[in-house]
Amino acid sequence: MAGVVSALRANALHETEMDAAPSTAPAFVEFSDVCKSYDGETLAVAHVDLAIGKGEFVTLLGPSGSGKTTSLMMLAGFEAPTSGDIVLAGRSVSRIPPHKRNIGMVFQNYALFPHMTVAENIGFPLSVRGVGRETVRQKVDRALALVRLSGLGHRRPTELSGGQQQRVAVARAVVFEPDLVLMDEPLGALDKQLREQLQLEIKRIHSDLGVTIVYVTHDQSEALTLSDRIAVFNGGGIRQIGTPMEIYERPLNSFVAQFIGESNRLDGRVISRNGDRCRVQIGADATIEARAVAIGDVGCSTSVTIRPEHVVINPPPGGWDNVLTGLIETIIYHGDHARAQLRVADSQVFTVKISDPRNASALKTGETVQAAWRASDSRALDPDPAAGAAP
Amino acid sequence: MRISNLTGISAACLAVVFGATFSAQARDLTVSAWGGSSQAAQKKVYYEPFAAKTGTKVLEDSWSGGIGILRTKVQGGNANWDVVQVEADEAILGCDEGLFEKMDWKALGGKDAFVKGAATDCAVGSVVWTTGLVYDGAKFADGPKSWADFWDVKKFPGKRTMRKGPKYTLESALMADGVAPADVYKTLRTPAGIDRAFKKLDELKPNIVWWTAGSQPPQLLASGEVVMADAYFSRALAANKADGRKFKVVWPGSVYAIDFWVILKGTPNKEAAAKLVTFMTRPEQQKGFPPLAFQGITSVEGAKQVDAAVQPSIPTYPANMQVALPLDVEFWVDNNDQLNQRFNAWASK
Amino acid sequence: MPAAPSAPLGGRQLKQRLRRIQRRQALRAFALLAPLMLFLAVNFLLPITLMFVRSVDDPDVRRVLPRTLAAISNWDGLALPSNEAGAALLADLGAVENREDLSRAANRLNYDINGFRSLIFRTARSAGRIDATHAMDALGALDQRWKDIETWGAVKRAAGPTTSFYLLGALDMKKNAGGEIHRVGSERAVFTLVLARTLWISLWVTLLCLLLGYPVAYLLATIPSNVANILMILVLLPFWTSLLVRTTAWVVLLQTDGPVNGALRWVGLIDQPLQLIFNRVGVYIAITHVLLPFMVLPLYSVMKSLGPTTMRAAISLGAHPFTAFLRVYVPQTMPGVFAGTLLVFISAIGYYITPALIGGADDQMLSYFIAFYTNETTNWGLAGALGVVLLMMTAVLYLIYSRLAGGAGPRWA
Repeated sequence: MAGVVSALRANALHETEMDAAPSTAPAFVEFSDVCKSYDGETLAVAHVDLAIGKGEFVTLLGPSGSGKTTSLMMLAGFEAPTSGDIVLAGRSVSRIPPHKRNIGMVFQNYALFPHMTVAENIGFPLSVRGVGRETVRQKVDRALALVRLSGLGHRRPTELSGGQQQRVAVARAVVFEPDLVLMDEPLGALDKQLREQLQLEIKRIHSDLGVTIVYVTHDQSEALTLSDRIAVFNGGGIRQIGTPMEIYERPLNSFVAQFIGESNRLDGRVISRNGDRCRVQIGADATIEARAVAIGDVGCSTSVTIRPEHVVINPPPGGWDNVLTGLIETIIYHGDHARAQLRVADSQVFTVKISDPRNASALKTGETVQAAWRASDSRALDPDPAAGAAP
Repeated sequence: MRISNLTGISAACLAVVFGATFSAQARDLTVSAWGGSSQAAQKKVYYEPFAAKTGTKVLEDSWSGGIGILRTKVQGGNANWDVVQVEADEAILGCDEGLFEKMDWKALGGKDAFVKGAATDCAVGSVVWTTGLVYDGAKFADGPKSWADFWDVKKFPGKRTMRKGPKYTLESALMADGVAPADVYKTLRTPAGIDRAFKKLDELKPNIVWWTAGSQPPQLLASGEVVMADAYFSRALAANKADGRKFKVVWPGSVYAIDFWVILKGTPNKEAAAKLVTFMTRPEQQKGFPPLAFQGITSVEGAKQVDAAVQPSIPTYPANMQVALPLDVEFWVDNNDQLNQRFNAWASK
Repeated sequence: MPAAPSAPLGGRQLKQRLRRIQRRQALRAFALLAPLMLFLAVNFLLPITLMFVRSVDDPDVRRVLPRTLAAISNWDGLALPSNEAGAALLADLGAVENREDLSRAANRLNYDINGFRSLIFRTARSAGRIDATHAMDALGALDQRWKDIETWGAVKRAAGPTTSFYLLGALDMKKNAGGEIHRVGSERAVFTLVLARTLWISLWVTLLCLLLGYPVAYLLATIPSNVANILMILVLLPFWTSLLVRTTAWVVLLQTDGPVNGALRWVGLIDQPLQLIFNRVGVYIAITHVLLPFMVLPLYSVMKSLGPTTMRAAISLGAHPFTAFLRVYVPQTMPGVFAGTLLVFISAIGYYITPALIGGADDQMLSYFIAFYTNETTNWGLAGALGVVLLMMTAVLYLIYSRLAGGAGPRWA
């Protein structure tokens, strides 16, 4: 995670707020005002609009129950939208049965056929399409090579490791050259190291084959690593859609800010507003300046978010828009960096990332310090109370 | 030390497994009969009065016959019955094999106090019962009168039910074919006679529904599944009384047989068992049985004392006995195995 | 053992200690298994062993007729035995003290030839009065069956101590006096037919159970569990009542004027009532009903563990739902199919009360005969032999079946 974040920071683009990057290619998959209800009362998926271009890698990211998997299942055809329409390659899918959608799918628990060998599993989508035996053999061999499992075609799935099984599932989903591949938390059952390894593989397969991939995960680092664009789901709807960098650097609401990466949140009240800047009262006697991204009028409450890596402790004087006094509660050494946890402004918790951990040795628990950051690095967002529950 | 622990455990297990056997030692006097309405009648006429009179507790069980069961009980040392009602062939075989205690004929009042064939060395007759032609009087105003009528599907259309086995069935077939009751077993003792019986059965085969349990024929008659039955009279007459049926029985050509009380060899309750058997064969006790069970009794004196209204319904009534055929037990002891085999081979074709 | 951590253990010491621990564990395991082993030995192995023994054991006649058997031991079975044999028979019968033994021997001979039992008793009663010098003639005069070679053949066949009589009998075969094996006449050949019929009925019942049970199990495994629980109770309902009650209920339902025929006539499907009972149809219906849970339960437990994903995967990969079902779902349920069919088939083989009450005369299954010979005529040798034949047949079928199933069942199960 830390690596991902710093990579993104190095490439930080200039701040342009409202450019939620419409895809340039004509939409290959398009959700138009799609709703899904199971009980007729609550919406599991609420008014989702989503356009995906051909060859794009789009991740649906969100906590469990946020509607991302249901959206995927509707696209695959295992669930039907209650209202709205999904268009795939120019055709509404409502009249295309799932097996005719020409979609490859990868499931979290692999869903390999245990009674078939690896080669039979991979050959399955070809054989049900009536492809000749020799062609099947060649394509299966190629697919095996693609996922680096050449020579294991005769094995049973149960004789493979979890990572190998998921590679077979990926090979099976792409062997018939589908237009679209859906992946439903494909790496969820694997340990961290395998997960990272397979992320790279999936990325490579995506660029090798040029296939469109819709990927569902609740793991934000996976989403950031893999995707061309990320759609962040919560409560049945899309909260923000954009490139990983946009999502990380320019969250449009508290939920996204809290869900993606780590954010400090200072709750307060807008006391003045000036163009894209605003001043926020936090606590009894402190005010800070922030970008006005999603706030109401003066007097409304707001959450100001600041990434921990944008905060400096005991800064060299001058040039800081915001300086708060805080009490150090804990200091944790992480090897490549250190973290200090402070209490600021009427005991709100505030984390600071110290990129050179050697600087941390000068700090002591219980000490009072200054925390400073630039107003352009902090964003005043909606006071979404649910955002407090972010991971 | 561990080994001895294990031995202890195993011994405990053995005790658990065989515990039931050991605990069977001290038990109450137990009598086993055919169950159903006849045993209910026995309970009322014999077991309960006996218990009331002597203060001996009488436990009941029921079974459906089979010398093998008795052999297992006696030879296996697990006889949990004392007095058992058996069929005539079991009485003979079991006595030959020494499965039963000898009867004390002095206490029972001498062999002459009983009807012919009801007194043997180790068994005393309990009931006289009959099997034969039964039909539903509600269906035929002028019903069948003989086995020839039973075979006549033109005159009396519809299915018939017969016992799924050669016993009684072959007798009926021969009588239907014109053999006099007195000559039935003489004929059956020749291979040609057996062929003749099966040939006669061939004629009726498509119209026969076979019964296996004695409770079936009255049900089959009542439901209209069959119009006639070769079945136990007592069951049909009991159904008339209990369910208001109008079943009619045809005494000519019926087959009667005696069931027996026996005492299983080696019973710890031998004395009480003998007392119970004596009690159950007394005329004054037996006379109460036919009105309840529609079966005959074995005490000559008792038969005379039976309620006159019931007399014509029981096998021992002279007019009934004269036209009936006594079951030849020895024939069936000799031939049961092979005739069963042949019957089933025949039925399968 | 407080010193253990510091004091280094020698290699041998370590091994010894390990071995002791292993031995203790083995003993513990044995002690835990002992009750079950004992139970199995008493209730399973012992009866089966006894069944095998009974099917070849033949001790009865040699106990009563030792001299006769010695006299005919070299007899060729082509002509009547010599007078010596007749004399020995008279001597044997005259010397019998235990009527119980005589009865057993007479029964044994009666199994072979009808009426032998009374022949033995009659001969025994007269044995003391017959002059041994012309024994054969006198015996022939007493009862002409003694002039029949096969009568003596039966005695020789019962010489013991072991015999093939019962096993041959269970296969409708017999040895004649000369020792040649031949098939018995068609009027008595019933067991091979009944064995084939037993397997045939069991096969059909198994197929019917599979056909009816598979969709039910599939439904149960795929609907919400609160509904599934209620349906499962319905499936298990047959277990709640006794076999006899269920069977009688079928009689009532299926009889000519019963509700089933009534309903069919009311709907107008039939004009004449169908014969649904006292024939094979009734037997299939009743046994299938009773054994259906044995098919549904294993299928259900396998299907429940499958979940929808492999089917979904197959469909998403382009398989028509029906193809996906056949090529992906069904093969995965094979362990359940294997277990269910085996359970049903083996249970069906042992049925006899249901066919006895609901079937016609030609629907009897082999168990009926085993029960008949065990309980009614105590021909335990033949009962045992029939049991052996049935067991062997079942074992052979099982081997073939497990081979056909590709050994796949056990691997996934």
